[in-house]
Amino acid sequence: MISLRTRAITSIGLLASILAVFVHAAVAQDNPNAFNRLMKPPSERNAPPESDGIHDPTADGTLMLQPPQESFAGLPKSRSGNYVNWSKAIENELVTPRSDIHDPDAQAIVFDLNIIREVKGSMPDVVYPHKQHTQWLDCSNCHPAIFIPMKGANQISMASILMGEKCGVCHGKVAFPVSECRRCHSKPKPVDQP
Amino acid sequence: MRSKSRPSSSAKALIFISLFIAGTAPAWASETSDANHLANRDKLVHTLLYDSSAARKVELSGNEAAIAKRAEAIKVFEAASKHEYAELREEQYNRAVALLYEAASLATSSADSDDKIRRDLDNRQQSLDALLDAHERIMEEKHSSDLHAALLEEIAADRLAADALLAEGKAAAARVHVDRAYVAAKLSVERARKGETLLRELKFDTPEDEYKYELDRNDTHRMLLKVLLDDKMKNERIREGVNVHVAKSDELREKAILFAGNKEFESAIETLEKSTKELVMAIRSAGIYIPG
Repeated sequence: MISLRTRAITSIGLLASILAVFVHAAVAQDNPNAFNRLMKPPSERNAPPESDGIHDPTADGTLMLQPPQESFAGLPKSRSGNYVNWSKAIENELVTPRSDIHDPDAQAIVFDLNIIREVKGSMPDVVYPHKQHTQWLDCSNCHPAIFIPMKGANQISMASILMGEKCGVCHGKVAFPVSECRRCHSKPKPVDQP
Repeated sequence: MRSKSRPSSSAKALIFISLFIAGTAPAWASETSDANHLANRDKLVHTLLYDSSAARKVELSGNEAAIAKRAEAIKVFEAASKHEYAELREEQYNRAVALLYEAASLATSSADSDDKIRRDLDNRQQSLDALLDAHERIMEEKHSSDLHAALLEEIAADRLAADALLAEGKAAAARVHVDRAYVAAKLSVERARKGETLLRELKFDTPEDEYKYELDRNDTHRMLLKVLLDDKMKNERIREGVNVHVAKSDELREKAILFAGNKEFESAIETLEKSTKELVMAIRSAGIYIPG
């Protein structure tokens, strides 16, 4: 049988837990990493706009936005980021991004060119598919400000990507995070012949 | 002597506290939550009206209508703060926010809009130039320089028209022509490269270049340790296992830097490779497989 003292302590403990939630929320707001919604634990994934740490909770429009968990419900799943496989979603025509803000009928010019970048060690080489990127983006979004469209003109390193440069301008922020190594390092090295 | 079945006075107090908490907790929690929400909203709307970039923009604009609109927003906000009823307060906060947006909109000068049009045009022009450079190289590579000449001819009229309009200060009209040339260049590059796969080989001009690459690879793995293992490092057993490899890696890296300082780049590269391998093992020891 639980003693009265224990019950009272339990009640006070409950009270403390409630307060702790408030305190935790306040601390999370001050955490510099809290903005990165792509690295959040399951309980905090795809929070509604008013509490996602990105939108202004005081803006009228914020409350009018559809919560991501609701809008993502019918989309193919992914293991990371915002847990949606956007490439598959566009391939299956579950989403049809508009390519021109003024012209709803404008068609995106999709560029089917792969670039393979060799890397050292047993890490598979990187395959950069223009196709999947130009289904969402225009050439001018990346060229020449982020990448100069010329062989050998771009020094790309994982360190710079992790610091938010080059591919890291999007990946880890609005595209899948760099912890998904195999999604870019996808071309295995040839097996050495004995 | 007190009966054993009777609670003591301290126990009575605990019962009272317990019942009080149990009986009032839901109402209390709800009221506190509402009060917290309103206090938070009060603070945020205050910031928006007094300290935000929009508020400063209105203040500095000198636009009387915008300044008057912000003053109205502040008046609504101050009155809202005194409202007794939460719903009315919330409604008035929303109104104050909407009024400030209107003020900010009024304060946006036509000069701001012109600047944006010009910036967008410059960016598009730079992209066009980059595409034309790429197009020229691609056509040279394919021994089809005549196709590059044909593209230049196709877009010549638009480029001339854009320059002329820009000289007259008509950036928005110039943008239409630059866009047309841009699309033509984009389509031509797309046709030329369609379905191709290009290989960017890993080649180093000097051992020093390769050393720098290895140094970067080592930095990268150190960052990955942070990104991938931040949560796992809270576990003492994992942390100890990881730290053994990290210590070895640190030692090897220091040696490599010394080798490089003596221009012994081959040894520096080899030692750095070993250092990076230790970092890969550190990550793997925490249960995350990465190739390396």
